[in-house]
Parts: sequence; structure tokens; C-alpha cells
Amino acid sequence: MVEKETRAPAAHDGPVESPAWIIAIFIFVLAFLVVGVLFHTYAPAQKDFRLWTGLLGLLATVGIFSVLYRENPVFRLFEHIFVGLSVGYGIAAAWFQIMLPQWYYPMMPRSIVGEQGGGMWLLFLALPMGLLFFTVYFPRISWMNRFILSILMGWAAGNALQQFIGSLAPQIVAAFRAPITRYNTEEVRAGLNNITLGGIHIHLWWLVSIVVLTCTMAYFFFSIDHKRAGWVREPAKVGRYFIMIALGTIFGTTVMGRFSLLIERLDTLMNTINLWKGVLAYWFVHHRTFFH
Amino acid sequence: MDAFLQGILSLDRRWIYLVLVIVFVFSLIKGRMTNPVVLPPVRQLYTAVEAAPANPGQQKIILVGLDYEAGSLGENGNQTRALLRHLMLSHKRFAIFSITPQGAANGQMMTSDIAGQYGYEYGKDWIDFGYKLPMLSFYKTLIHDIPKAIGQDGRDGRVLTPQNFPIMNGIKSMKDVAMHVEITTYATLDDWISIVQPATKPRLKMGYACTGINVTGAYPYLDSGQLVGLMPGLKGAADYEKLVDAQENALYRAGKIKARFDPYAPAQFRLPAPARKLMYTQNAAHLVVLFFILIGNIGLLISLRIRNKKGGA
Repeated sequence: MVEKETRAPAAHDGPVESPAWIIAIFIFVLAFLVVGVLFHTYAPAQKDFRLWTGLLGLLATVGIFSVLYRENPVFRLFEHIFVGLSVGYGIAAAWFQIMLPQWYYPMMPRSIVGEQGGGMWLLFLALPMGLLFFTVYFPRISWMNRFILSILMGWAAGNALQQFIGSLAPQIVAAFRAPITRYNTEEVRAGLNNITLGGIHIHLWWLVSIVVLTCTMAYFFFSIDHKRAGWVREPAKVGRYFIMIALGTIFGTTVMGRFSLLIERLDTLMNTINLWKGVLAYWFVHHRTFFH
Repeated sequence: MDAFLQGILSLDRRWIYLVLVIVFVFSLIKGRMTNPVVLPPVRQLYTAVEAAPANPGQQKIILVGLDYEAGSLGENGNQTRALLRHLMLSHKRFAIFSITPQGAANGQMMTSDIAGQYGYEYGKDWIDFGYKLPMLSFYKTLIHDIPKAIGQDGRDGRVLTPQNFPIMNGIKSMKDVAMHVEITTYATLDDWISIVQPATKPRLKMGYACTGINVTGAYPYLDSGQLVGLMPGLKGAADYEKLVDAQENALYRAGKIKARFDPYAPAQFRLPAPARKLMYTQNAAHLVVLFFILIGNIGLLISLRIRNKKGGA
């Protein structure tokens, strides 16, 4: 029996282009930034660096959007820049806005870090505890990882239960509403949800809510064979349509949301173009050079 | 006929992108302010903010979570602008914070820009709580001890004491928060609803400004009373903006404010055009999509009929 040769998966399945492409684009972006800094430093009429970052934003957006046409090295470069920037920015922010004010300064004595120091040296224990997570990379001591993971899992499980109750209990209570009452509930206004018929109040939307809830749950009720039991099959059929409506709504709002994001991008791009048009017109009118 | 139908059904999606972009650009250039019909949940949120006891002298603040990044500025950015304008027009004292590094930085610039136009003073009328990790320990500390959970402000890095920031006078726990409005792309609402809200007595009033994707998941919270109002996506922002514009116009006519808000004024952080204007483009895009859906379905139905006829013959 011949064993199949296993092969490590490729980093990506797209076409492999020459590294010259990547280097060329990278140099272009770098040169762009350098020119931007020079421009910001020396150009007398435009001291606003945001003019330059706006143009960089325009290039980055067009570079990312270029994937709509086809996969290409420009897209990949900006994709990697985006991921790298997000991670780098996140790490810096976590250190300066979380670790320093909430761990380092409270832990250190005032004699070392000044007024911000708290002297709570026990906080140092957070460091070895946190480092236990990384033991997973060393097979000989990887078992130590279980200590910290078990603490984390137990803590998360307890909180998850609390969160489940805190979040869903009010919704379950809200779902139990009588669709027909002999008294007028003050919380609903007159209208379709409060029709009065000879001393009886019919709350139409609450009735609809119960029907939709029951039918949708019937669709997922697999303990009884739907083919044999008509009293489950028919509501389940109706429930299927309700689910379709709900999914359609989710899809519709998702499309709407995505359009909003695209509109914002295009609006920003058009603003940047208009801004640059104004700047260039100013230079041409006043016969100015970029640097003098 | 067959070739034509095949052409429609196998149309390269890039043509659709091109048509959409042309419609977007054209409608952005020619766009004008829409006059939307305000959704009931948006009006509820507006009313709740208006009624929140966070005016000077009431010893409470409104907490605004700006939990989003640059990618969702189209929706969340407009929601933020509309809400902050309302808070400032109604003289509500408020604090902003974020669980994303970008949201914290952008939020600070955005709020400073808007505050500059309304003459709102940092530390007295509003404060930046900065970037916080969305961990359970943070939320649980926040419930009982806001200064301890926050530590230092996000702008100057100063400790949250009434001496440093007059707005913090009397602000100790979530009981001193009149309302929390969560503007977010993420599922952060669940944390607030499930951890913070049940632990505060009386129950913390919460508003939610979400992206279009999260709208359907938010309505059950509204129905159960866990949310007092909702601002769904760009449409919600446009509705809220309409209410705020009306309030501002009334104040301007009464001589209570000197100038109206200028969305195009020089700013550290440039936000997109007003939501009511962007909704014009949104509407145009929806019409194009409806057109494509119609064309696609007609093509499919005709091709099915032709295939059935051929099969029958």
C-alpha cells in the first residue's frame, strides 16, 4: 500500500507573483509617506498633515477595493498593512491604556514611578499567572497551562450562567403576555394591540407573538415524527415561513448596513479628491512650488 | 431569447459593482437632505435621553460607549454625532469610553470637535474615560466603583477625582449613571444587559445604536423593556438627526443658541456627510438592488418556463 504524500498547505491559493511587485509597491507607499512628511514640514501654504493622510486613505481604500476586480498584489499589500497596523495599534493601546495605569503603576512604589505609584506589590503575581498560558509552547512544561485554563474556564462558566439568566429572564417574562384580557392594561395604547369588544380586550400583536413563537418552536421539535403527527407538521410548516421572513430581514438589514459603510467610504474619497482639487488649484493660481 | 436569458443569469458580478458605484457617486454629488419618517424606537431613545436626569446640578451623568472602529463610521459615526449633539443641546453631562483602541482615539477627537462648536467644557460638562478592555472584571467593578474601574481619564491621564474633574463630583457607582447609550458594531450589548443592568437598582436605562446587521437581534430587548430605545443603522442616525435638527432650529429661533451646528466645519476627525444626506444615496442604492433582484427573478422564471416547455415537448 502506497501512502499518499502529505504536503503542507500553501499560504494562499492565488497566483504567485514576482516579489518585485511587493517591493515596488512597498517602496511606493514608503516614498509616499516620506514625501508627505516633507510636505508637511516645508510646504508653507499647507501645514495640515491630514491632507496627506487623507490621500493615503484614498489609495488604501482603492487598493482594498481592487479585489472586487480580481485578486492582486496591491490588495494583498494593503490587506497586510491593515492587519499589521491594527495589531500594532492594539498592542500599544493595551500597554499604555491598560497595563500601565491598571497594573504597572499600581504595582510599583512611588519612589520609582512617582505619584502614580500604588505600591501594591501583590499585583506582580499576575505576571507569572499570565505567563502560564505560554507554557503550551513548551512540551515539557505544557501541563502547567491547565492550572490557569481551569481557573479561567470555571470563572467563565459561572459568569456565563449569570449572564444567561440576566439577559434572558426579562425576555421570557415579556413573552408571557395574555392576548385576551378582561381588564385594560395601561401599558398599551388603543389600536390594533388593544381592541375592545364588550368588556374584553384583545391584544392582537401579543396574539401574533404567541402564534409565531409556537410555530417556530414546532419547526425545531424533532422528538415527534413530523410526517405522522399533523398537529406538529402543520404549525412547523408555518414556522418555516416565519423563519424565512426572519432570515430575510436579517439579510436585508445586513445589505443595508454594508451599503452604509460603502457610502461613507465613497463620501470620504470624494471629500479627499475635492480637498486636493482645491489645494492644487491654489498652487497653480499662485504659481507656487511645493518646496521653497 | 435563450442567449439573452443566459446573459442575464450569468452576468459578471463586476458589472453590478460598477453600476452601484456609478449610482452611489452620482447620488452623493446630487444628493440632498432627506426628510425621513422617524421610527418609533428612535423617538423612544430621543425621549429617554431628553428625560435623563443628567443636567448640571442633578449629580448624574450619561455614559456613552463608542465601541466601534473606523470600518463602521458610516453608521456608528453618524449615530455618535447625532447623539452627542443632542446631549450638548440638552445640557446633559456625559462620559465617553470605548472597548476598542480606535474607538477611544476617534471618539475623543470627535467629541472634542463637536464640544468645540457647542462650547462644552472638558472635565466639567464631559469627560473621556478612555479605552477599557471589555472584561467581566471591568464591568463588575464599574457597577460599584466607577473611579476604580476607570482609573485615569483617557485624554490627560489624570486620576478621576472631583478635584481634577468637577463632573466626577458625586459620581461613584452605576447608581449615579442616569442612562447608558451603547453605540457599537460588536455584541457588547449582551455584556451590559446581562451583567451591569441586572446588578443596578433601579435598573439601568439603556439605549442602543447598532449597525444594520445587529438590528434584528436588538428588537427583543426593546420589547422586553431592557432597552428604552434603539437607533438602527444609518436610517436610525438619520431619524435621530432629524429630531436633533428640529430641536436645534427651535433653540436657534428662540435665541438660546448663537449658531447652528456645522458638519463641515474644520475638525480633527472628519465625519461623513450628515446621515440625512447619506440616506439619499442609501435610497438610490436600494432602488438599484430592487431592480437587479427583479431582473434576475424575471430571467430565472422565463428560463424555467422555457426549460419546462422543452421538457414537455
